[in-house]
Amino acid sequence: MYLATDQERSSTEYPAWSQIRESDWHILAGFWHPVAFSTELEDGPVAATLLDVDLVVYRTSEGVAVAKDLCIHRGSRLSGGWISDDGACIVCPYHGLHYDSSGQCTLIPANEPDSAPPPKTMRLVSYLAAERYGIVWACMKPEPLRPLPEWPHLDEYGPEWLRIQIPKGTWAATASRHCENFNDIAHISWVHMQTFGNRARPVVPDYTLEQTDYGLYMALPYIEVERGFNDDLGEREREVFYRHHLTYPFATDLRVDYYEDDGESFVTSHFFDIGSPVSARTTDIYQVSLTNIPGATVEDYAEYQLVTNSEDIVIVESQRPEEVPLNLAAETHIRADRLSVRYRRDLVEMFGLGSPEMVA
Amino acid sequence: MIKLYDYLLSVNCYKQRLLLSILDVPYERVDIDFYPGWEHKGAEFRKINPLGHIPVIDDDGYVLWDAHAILVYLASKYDPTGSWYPVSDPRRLGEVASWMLFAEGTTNTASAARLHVSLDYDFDLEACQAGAHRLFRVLDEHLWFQEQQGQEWVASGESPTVADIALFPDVALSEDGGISRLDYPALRRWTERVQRLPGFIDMPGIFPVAKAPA
Amino acid sequence: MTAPEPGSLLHPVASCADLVPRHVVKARLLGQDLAVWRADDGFINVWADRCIHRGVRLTVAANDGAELVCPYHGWRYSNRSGNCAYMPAHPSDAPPRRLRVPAFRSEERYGLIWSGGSPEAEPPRLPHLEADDTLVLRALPVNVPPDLALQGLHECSYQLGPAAGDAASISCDSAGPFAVAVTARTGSTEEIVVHFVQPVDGGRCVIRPVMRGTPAAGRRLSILRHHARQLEELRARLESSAGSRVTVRGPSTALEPLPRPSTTAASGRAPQLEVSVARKWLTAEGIAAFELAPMSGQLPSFQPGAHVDVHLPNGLVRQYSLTNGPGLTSVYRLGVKLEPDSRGGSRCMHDSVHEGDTLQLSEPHNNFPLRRDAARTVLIAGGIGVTPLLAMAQTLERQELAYELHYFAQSDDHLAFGEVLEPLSTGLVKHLGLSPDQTADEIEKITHDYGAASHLYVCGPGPMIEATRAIAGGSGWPDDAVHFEYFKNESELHDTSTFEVRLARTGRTLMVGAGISLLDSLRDAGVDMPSSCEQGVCGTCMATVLEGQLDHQDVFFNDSERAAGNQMLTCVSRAAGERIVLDL
Repeated sequence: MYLATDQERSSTEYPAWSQIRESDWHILAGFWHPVAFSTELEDGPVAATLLDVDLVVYRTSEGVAVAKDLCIHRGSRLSGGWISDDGACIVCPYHGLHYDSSGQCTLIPANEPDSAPPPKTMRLVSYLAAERYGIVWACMKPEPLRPLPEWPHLDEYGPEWLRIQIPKGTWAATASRHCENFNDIAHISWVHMQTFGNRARPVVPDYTLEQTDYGLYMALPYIEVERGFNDDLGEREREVFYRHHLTYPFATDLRVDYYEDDGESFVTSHFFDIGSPVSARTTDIYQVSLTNIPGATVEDYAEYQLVTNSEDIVIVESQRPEEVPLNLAAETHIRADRLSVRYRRDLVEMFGLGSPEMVA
Repeated sequence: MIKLYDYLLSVNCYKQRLLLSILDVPYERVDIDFYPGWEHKGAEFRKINPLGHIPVIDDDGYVLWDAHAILVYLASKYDPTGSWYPVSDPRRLGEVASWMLFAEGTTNTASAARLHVSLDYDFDLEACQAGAHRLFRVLDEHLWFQEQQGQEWVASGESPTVADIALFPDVALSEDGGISRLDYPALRRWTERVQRLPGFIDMPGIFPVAKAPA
Repeated sequence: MTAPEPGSLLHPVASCADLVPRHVVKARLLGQDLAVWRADDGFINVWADRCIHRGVRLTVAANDGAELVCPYHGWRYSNRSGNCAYMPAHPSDAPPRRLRVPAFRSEERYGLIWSGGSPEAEPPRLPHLEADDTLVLRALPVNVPPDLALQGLHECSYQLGPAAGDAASISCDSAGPFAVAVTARTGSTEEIVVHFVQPVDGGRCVIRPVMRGTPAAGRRLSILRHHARQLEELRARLESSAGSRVTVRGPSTALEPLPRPSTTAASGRAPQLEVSVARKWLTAEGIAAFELAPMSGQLPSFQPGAHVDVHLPNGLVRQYSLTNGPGLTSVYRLGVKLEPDSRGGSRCMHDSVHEGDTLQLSEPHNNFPLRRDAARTVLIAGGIGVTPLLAMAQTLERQELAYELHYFAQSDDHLAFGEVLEPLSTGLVKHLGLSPDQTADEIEKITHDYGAASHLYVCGPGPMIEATRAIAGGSGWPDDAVHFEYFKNESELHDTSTFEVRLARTGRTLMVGAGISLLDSLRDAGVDMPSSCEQGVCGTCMATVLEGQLDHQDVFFNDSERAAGNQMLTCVSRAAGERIVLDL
């Protein structure tokens, strides 16, 4: 009914109800994560959840902004509000308080028009926000651990490229399980039998795997079965070459070169995939594709990606434990799993994720 | 040739593809630009089906919509054995009609939960899941008693009917909507029997089963 | 008297009728998710519902009658042992033996499958029921904790049995800690139903009623319906009265998987199996066949191509290939040819080993693994060399993969295991009574058209293997497509090359011989080294190196770590020089 008189406004930044372990939460909060597609902001502010913190994402004339979805006056949700007519502020739906893109309160409509401006201390709990690749990103620590993924090709592409934005999906799985699956090679021949998988080619060759300044780079050939998603020449085997650029912790640029029958010329698609950790076991999936396949349409290519996702989601949601075991001995690894082993090691060794609980 | 206005991820469209494949009837797919075009909601498509729903079939000018109605039509017209929609047996026919109506319920609960989870449709997820469990409990008990009487399908008789097709994907994909089938062992056995029918085709998210023993 | 811990008992997890062929039942007991399946040989497996690779539920795996196939990466797990039998991403590797799904007990009684973590516990034996004469009624999952369900059954006000009628007197008595027997008497007739309660987890259970006796066929269905209706009412009552009281708690007792069979001791040393000779017969001219059954427990599973070391009564150790196909898991079947110049191995097996004798074996090893992804598989057997190829042919036959088995022998009388060859007829080609030159001509014909993704397996006398390798090589077969196992059952272990390992903390020094991994040597010396993949992938068995040059053979370290030379994986890597010092 009441909070005690000694209860402060927000005593910690870590949400007490989170199922993410506190030490991991503070590390994950230091990365950039997607919180909305830019297109979602066309009709005003939207709500998002990141690492169990409810956020409002809004666009003012200054650019995109992200804050706790909480008016500091009486705690109403700002995501139910709107953008002021001059485009400069988000307006709280309860008493009309205005906040600018930095979170500073600029107007209290109930005060006399000639009263002093709101004090500088009256501001939202705002976070770092950035907009790139048609996606709004947030970082909940003042100093990001890593920069945004560097995908210049997605910033600027020629007219021969088609950009396809996939509807945001919500998976009942952890972001790392999703990320490992997106970068897993051996499952293609088993799981993707309605899209591009080839049951007759289950062998994973020794592939290129390199540590990079952004994360990991993996490259290898595969022989897909074309089932009419990338061309209309009928079902057949098709040589492809995969290049995975995994930016830690959850963002991947998968480039696929599709070779023509001459074995030399090829067309290319990029599948960009970012998992955003909503909570311990819930992940929002942001996907954008680029392709230079002649005649490709947004509808066909979106369907390709959605069908592919629906093949993966049942598997990934069934994995137990839901959390990726960072103790490597807790699951079994084979040579094909070199990427996932390196990934798990790096999460521990580079960032300190999964560290044991401190015992007093 | 039959034209099927189709979308790969729609369970109701899949029911048609499944029956057409089992009956070995050739057809032409017309892929609807579901996302992001929402073609089925557009003016052009509403000339075909004013409700803006898929699937729709066009069989040489004869246009029919509503998934379960199409199943009835296809089975009646293209199954020479008459067993998939048993018009000559009033009792079985009544059971088929009854379970087809029941399948409207599983589509509106179990499959709706799946749409909510995977495509962010606006449904009350918990209500859908609870509703699906209520229906699955009834269906599991029914199928258990069918097995006790040497029956393998939802309607009585030696062979499956369109009612099995109408129910199958709602049940087989339920875990995708967060509806566990732990408590429904007879349902799990029945979905495998459907998957072993000659001509069965997969939908993404349905796990393959091993062949029946020789 | 205090109630026994639930984890110390066996509980029902399914009814026998639930285990239809080629199906996997989903169950849950004391908070542990279970995959329960019956193999074609009748054996019931109760496994943890989790693929050990990436955690996918095995209840969505396909049961092919002998193996479960995980849908994520196609890993196959063997009936009985739960060992991983095949990893399609690396088809030429034999999966390490320690890769296995945790398995639990499985027992059948009263028409139910019983399981649990206790190695000693038995399913209950009740005076109320006779083992072979029961009717299993419809089980009902209830969303209340087990103790509430038991209490509800004790207060059972429901009318038992349609036959007893309203006049029946009803009594409820406890039939063990997790069962309530309900008896209805009218005059001299008595009807008894025992309700077993399966503790699913802290908030749920399954009531599994079993009725004594077999009712007349005409009454069966009405009895089943009557009880299902009564139980459904009980369920509704229990769930509504429990209502808000129910919070799903974790189980009070976690279910421990069965300890690994003693054959895979934690120390990882090559252990000894004790078997008895269940059957011995002459399967062909000069070839004795043996079926070896375990003295206790299950035999470890193995992959086609595997052999065991047999410790003979005369002190010699000989390797013999296992001929078993995928269905045969209760015995190991070997074939032994009497070698005229035998120095005591085959002579001893033929003359001194009899039915009923006890033998010591190693666990199976596989140096001759079979790929299951070839476009064409050619098996070439010379004489007794057919034994590992028989296991391969049966595996391929089982999975409906095409193959040819070319069996070279002196005559029909020299063909071993005719009863196994018979059903293989489509893939089997016999080549009888050929001279070495004629044999070479035949092999030339068999191998002359090499196609991509073809694989050749040859086993037989040394000269025949060498000839086959030469002929196939000349026809364009690459080296890695020709697999061979020299069949020499008199072979000696090589232990010529060694390196020295000094353990800095304990001050001990060991020698590691060729053919033995550093990991195994450390374990033999009593060092408790953890490990997982034993393929140089996962890094679990890492040791810190203080001195010495290393021969890294793992894929775990990156180049700089490798160059630093201060760590090594003991499962695959070795000393490059004569000596290393480890921080152990």
